[in-house]
Amino acid sequence: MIFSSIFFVFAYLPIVLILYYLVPFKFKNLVLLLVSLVFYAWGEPVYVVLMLFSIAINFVSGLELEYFMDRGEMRKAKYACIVTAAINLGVLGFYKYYGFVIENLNAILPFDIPYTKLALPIGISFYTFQTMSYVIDVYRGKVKAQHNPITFGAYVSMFPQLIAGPIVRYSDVEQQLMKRTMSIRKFGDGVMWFLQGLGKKVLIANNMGSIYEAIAVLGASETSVLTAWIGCFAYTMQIYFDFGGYSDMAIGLGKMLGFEFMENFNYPYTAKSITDFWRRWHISLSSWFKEYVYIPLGGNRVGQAKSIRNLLIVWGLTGLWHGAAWNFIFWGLYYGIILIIEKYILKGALEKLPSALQHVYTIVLVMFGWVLFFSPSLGSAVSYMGTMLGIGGAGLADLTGWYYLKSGLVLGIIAAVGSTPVVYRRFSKWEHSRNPYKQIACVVVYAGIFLISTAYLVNATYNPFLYFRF
Amino acid sequence: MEKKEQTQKQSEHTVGKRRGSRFLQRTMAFGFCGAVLLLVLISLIMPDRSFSEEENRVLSKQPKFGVTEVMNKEYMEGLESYTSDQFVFRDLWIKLKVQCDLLTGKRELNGVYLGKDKYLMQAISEPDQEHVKENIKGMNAFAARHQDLNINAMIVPNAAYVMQDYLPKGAPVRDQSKDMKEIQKQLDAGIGCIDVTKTLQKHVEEGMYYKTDHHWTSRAAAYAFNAAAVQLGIGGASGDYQRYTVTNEFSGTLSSKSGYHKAEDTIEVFEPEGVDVKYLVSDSDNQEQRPTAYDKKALKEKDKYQVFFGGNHAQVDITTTNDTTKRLLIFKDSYANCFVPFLIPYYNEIIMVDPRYYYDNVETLISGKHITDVLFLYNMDTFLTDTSIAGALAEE
Repeated sequence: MIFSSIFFVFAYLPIVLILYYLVPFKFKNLVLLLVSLVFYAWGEPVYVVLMLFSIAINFVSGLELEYFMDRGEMRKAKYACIVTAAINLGVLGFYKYYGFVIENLNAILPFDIPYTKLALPIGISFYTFQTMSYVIDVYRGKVKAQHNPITFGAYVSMFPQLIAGPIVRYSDVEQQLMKRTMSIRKFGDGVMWFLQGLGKKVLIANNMGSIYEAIAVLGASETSVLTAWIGCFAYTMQIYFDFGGYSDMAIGLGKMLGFEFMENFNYPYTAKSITDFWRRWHISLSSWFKEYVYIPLGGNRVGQAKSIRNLLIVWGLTGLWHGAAWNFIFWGLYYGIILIIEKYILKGALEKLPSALQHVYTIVLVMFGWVLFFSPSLGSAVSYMGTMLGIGGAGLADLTGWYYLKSGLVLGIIAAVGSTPVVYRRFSKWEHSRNPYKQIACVVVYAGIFLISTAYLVNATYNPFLYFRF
Repeated sequence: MEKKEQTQKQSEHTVGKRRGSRFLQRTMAFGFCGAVLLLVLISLIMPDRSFSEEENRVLSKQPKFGVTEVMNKEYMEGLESYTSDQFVFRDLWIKLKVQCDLLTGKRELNGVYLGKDKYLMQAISEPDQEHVKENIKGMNAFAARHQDLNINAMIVPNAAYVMQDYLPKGAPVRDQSKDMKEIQKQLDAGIGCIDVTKTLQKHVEEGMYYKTDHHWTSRAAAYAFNAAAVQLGIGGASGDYQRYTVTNEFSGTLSSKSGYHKAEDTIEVFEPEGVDVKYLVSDSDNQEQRPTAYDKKALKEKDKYQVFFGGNHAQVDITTTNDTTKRLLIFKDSYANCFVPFLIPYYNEIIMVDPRYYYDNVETLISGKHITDVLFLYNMDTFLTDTSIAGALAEE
């Protein structure tokens, strides 16, 4: 089930909210757990077992760690923590990377290892990272072990962020799981977040996506420089509004249920360097890697060589997290290398450039990054980049490029403006204004987004979630 | 990158800040719940519709609930499409969506291009290479087995290719002349290829395709017939026809698919002049013999193109009063339906087989009916995505 569907908005969500608000507080986590399991089962019923296994193993492990630590047996606690982390990563590895590993082995080995590709359990990359944050934080003494399996289950399976994040760390919601406030005003906030996300996803991401898809199937000989850039721009906008929209919807749903989640994006395309970009893009993932991989490896407080090694490890893993394929690994390393260059070679040099140039530098590198990301193979990525640079394509501009420019221009401008805080800041002032006309204007805007999104959902022909496969 | 910096950064944008004034928050909370509940209630109260005239398709019904249906996800998928199909004011939502698309400058709706003069043209699909190869192999093997038969293939290009000048400027379109050349190269010499592309292109302005439907018109079929007659071994074909308009209110599959309903089409029927051949038609869905190729009932329905033979059937038999020995077997898609009436006077018997629905043995049919001629008649788009020709031609 995805949020941007008629079924979710007009069937699942109302039922969930009615149940959730009908029961007294002490049963709310139970309701949340049950409806989340239904949500999870929707896509693949048998994988509920996997989810329950994941909840059980991490819950028990938390208690076990607490037991050892209370008795001061830190070595045992350490082993327990490592074993649980290994099980979590093992399950993730088996479902997500097994096929990839065997494929690569088969390419090297003289014989073929037979295997069948498994369907990826939805959201496994997200909830595995959530449960790992719990176990590691219990071991570090940062949080107390959870003693109520229902509360813990509700945390792991919570449907708003289950399938596409943000990756909510246990430490961030520990308090809220026991005690959270629900109010009409908070609910209203939630509605606004949800509608904003819905609009981003349905109106912008889907439409940008269909332009990208149409251009992606053109042969290299039919693609001019103009067409290639339009395609890349469309994907750049699609992935941001898709993923950002999803995060907004998750935050909104969380608020409707009384939770406060961390924001996952902070206008990433307005970054002035790649370092800055990664502080703004998928914040919950990069901070997870920093907290649980980069800093434990020594971060940058070790020698330069080691800290470069650490960066490459983190970024190779970040790439791999996005998918079991080489182009994702290269995409991660691409950023690793740029970050190393910015940190050790450019140092402050970038900041001396005019501000506009810094933006151009960043967005161009990000767009080339997306080419690596969306291409089915490294070869096709290189050839697409070649076309963008005028090598091997169909000239500088052609009628096809003109056609896509014309049919995507209005939305493209809306998307580009929408990825900066310009309009948003003004709108936000209106939301807080005392002027009743401005207030009513805000209501009209949200109602409009809701109506038009619904119209597109009723017609949904193209409605994928890019982050669904992670 | 230090821990300190990180915690500081987190607090900058931890949780979504409050979004609005008290009035706005309350209005949004009540407004949203009210709107959702209202729409849900109306959807529940309104009786389910089984067919959408607007979209020309059967709508989903409430799915069956059971353990099997849940485990294989049929129930969930069914429930999702049921909710969406039976959603209240469905047709209005579709109109709103189309208006928004047009407003943003989109000229392609659900894979349908909005062309000049309100022409709707289906974007041509990517070929299914594997099946194309298999189908051509099957056709060649068939021709090799039946060297005594006069076998021809007429693959008709589609509107988006023939009428390129009517497409939105620069809209990408598959070069079907390349496809045509490739097919001609692959087919053995035992199969004659009939290419009517130039004929159709010459008469584009007379309306070779319907504006709202993916089929070609009777007029196009008439030109194609005249161009193909010699190759088909038909001598002295009459070039004069009496034309009858059977409807002015045809809104075809492309307007349903795109949701764009600005044009209506005219369907014409051609009767050759000076030809005195009577015939009887029966088909696998209706054994009763009738003296016409046309189904008047279809004119009262949504898909009026079905006026030709009442749509597609696994097999259609046409016997005529012409006592020639020529008996024709046609493997075809729906493009043949408006073309075959032109052939009728020149054969003793014509059998149309639609491989998509046909499961009997073709060899038995050929020997049983003393077939002398075979014609493959497809539009390019269907031919390059077909998955049934090879199977229907198989010897077994």
